[in-house]
Amino acid sequence: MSEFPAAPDSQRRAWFTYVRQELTTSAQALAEAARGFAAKCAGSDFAAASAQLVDRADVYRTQVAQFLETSFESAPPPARKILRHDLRGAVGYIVSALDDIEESTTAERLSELRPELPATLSVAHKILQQLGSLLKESTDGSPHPVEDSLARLPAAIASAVASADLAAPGRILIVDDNEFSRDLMAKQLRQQGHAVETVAGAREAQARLSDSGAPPVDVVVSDVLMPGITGLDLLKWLKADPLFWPIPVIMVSALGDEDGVLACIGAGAEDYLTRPVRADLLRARIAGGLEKKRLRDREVENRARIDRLVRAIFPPAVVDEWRQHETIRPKRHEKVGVLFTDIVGFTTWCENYRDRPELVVDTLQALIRQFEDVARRFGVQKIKTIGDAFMAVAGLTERDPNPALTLLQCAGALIDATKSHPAGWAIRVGIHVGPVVTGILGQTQFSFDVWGQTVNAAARMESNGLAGRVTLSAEAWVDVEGVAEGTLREAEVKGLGAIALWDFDHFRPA
Amino acid sequence: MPKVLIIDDVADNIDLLSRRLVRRGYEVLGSAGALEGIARALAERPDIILMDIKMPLIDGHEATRRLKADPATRSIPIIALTNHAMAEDRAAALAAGADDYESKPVDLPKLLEKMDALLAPKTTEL
Repeated sequence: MSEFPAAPDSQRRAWFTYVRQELTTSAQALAEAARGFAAKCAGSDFAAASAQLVDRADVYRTQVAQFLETSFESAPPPARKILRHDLRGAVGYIVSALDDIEESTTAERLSELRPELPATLSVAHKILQQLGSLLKESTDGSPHPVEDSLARLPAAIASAVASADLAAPGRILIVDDNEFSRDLMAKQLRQQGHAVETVAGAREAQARLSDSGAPPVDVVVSDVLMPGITGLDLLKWLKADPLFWPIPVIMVSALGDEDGVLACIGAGAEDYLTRPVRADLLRARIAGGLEKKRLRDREVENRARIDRLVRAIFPPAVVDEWRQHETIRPKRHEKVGVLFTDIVGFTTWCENYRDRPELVVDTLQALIRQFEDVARRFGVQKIKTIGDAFMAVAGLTERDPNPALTLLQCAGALIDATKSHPAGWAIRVGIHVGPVVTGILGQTQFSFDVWGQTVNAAARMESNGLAGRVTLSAEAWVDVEGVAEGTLREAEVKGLGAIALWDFDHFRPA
Repeated sequence: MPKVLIIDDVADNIDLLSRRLVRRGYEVLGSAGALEGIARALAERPDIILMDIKMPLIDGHEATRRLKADPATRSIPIIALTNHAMAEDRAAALAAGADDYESKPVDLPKLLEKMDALLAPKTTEL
């Protein structure tokens, strides 16, 4: 008597996978059809007979499950016997019982049993065909070629099985307190080219994943029941962490632990496997997990790119507000330092390069970039450039006990940066402190901006300043006079009249 | 009224098949095992035997051989029944002395045709 196909492993696995699926699905279909039929028969003279059919169909389903679990792959000769006598016998009985019911009733009554009776009968016949085709080739004693079976596989299943084989390798972390199961899974996955790491518990897994120096893990396979921290706890921990949530987690549960499976899926597990873990299922789940991880990585990368862009446009606190409320409300800040710089004689300088506008832009660009670096270093927020003017604030989005001092220190660095710039420019710097309103105007091409009299005053300090010097308003000077030396002068300032302002000389030695 | 003896180790199968045959006017006896079936055949002298092949201890082939070896029961036609008929089973059944072969679940019209064919000569003899 021929045995089940001996063929290349992948084909053999594909064949078994297919048969498993077919037998399980049809057994379930039969059980459901029988229930439908019994519901139709409730209260009639066929109530008892149809209820018995439901029992028979359930028994068949159990038999199939047992068969697939124990004999199907491992023990070919008994498998044949079970297929032929037990499984076929069980379904055969159902067919005969349905025939019996059909024969014993009137045509009129029979039409009332439609479509449930013929439907159940049809499922049962299809199962007989299935079982028959599994046994088929031994009629003439020839072996049952796997290739034939594969040729009969729906193309989609065959290609799914094949693509699971071809899935690009990834880094898998196996968490399992059982050494044998851990090693077995690791071996199977390594054979498929994956990089596999194993740990014996959830705590070790947390340590491994949190190790920022180690290569990132693509998929976690975790046992559900482990001493100490359970797999479910590990899963929850992973899914709660923005760094780890993209990692698909495949849970391995004991056979029949449906509550555990349910809890895991509820907690965000990608998939689950039951013990004993079948190599083909493990492979397929890993392939699916890796695919998801790649999609999520792309999503995370996209989000990071948007984030970088948004953070380049808006101060961090504004981004956070936008995240939370999806809008930026205008906001009044009581004490903010505002700084303006302007290049002395920029317009005249530009005249020299009238026919080379790109050179003008490139040269200015180089300086502004340096300004941005300086501002970042001092915790000063750049607001915008207006032509060759540069505007920045302190104490707006980051708490700053003395915005005037911060800006004064920053101004010194800005002047130094300008001095070392090849264009040979000099800048004037103006600083003022006071209340401002912040916000965003419009919905397109918008930018975060600062308004108020304070802004105008700072601009006036700069326009009334001196080349290579920092000019502060009296309000700003109050905050720095403890550490700075300066020269007081009076100036006629547009819109403000005659006011006092300070030209900064140097910091007092500490 | 032909008398049919069904030999099958599964009582439910006997019940089901006998119900269907009785409905068509046959007198039906059942035996839930080969040894009991052989004894029943001797005692009741049925017109035809429907023999399940897959039975524990003594299978249908062996039971058929014994019935065909005994002059008292040799003339009783036997139809072998088994799950999923395969050519080698048919050959084995005929080699054991069965007169015909049918697979389960039985297609009743087909089975009745075979039974009629085996019962016919006897009827014309009378």
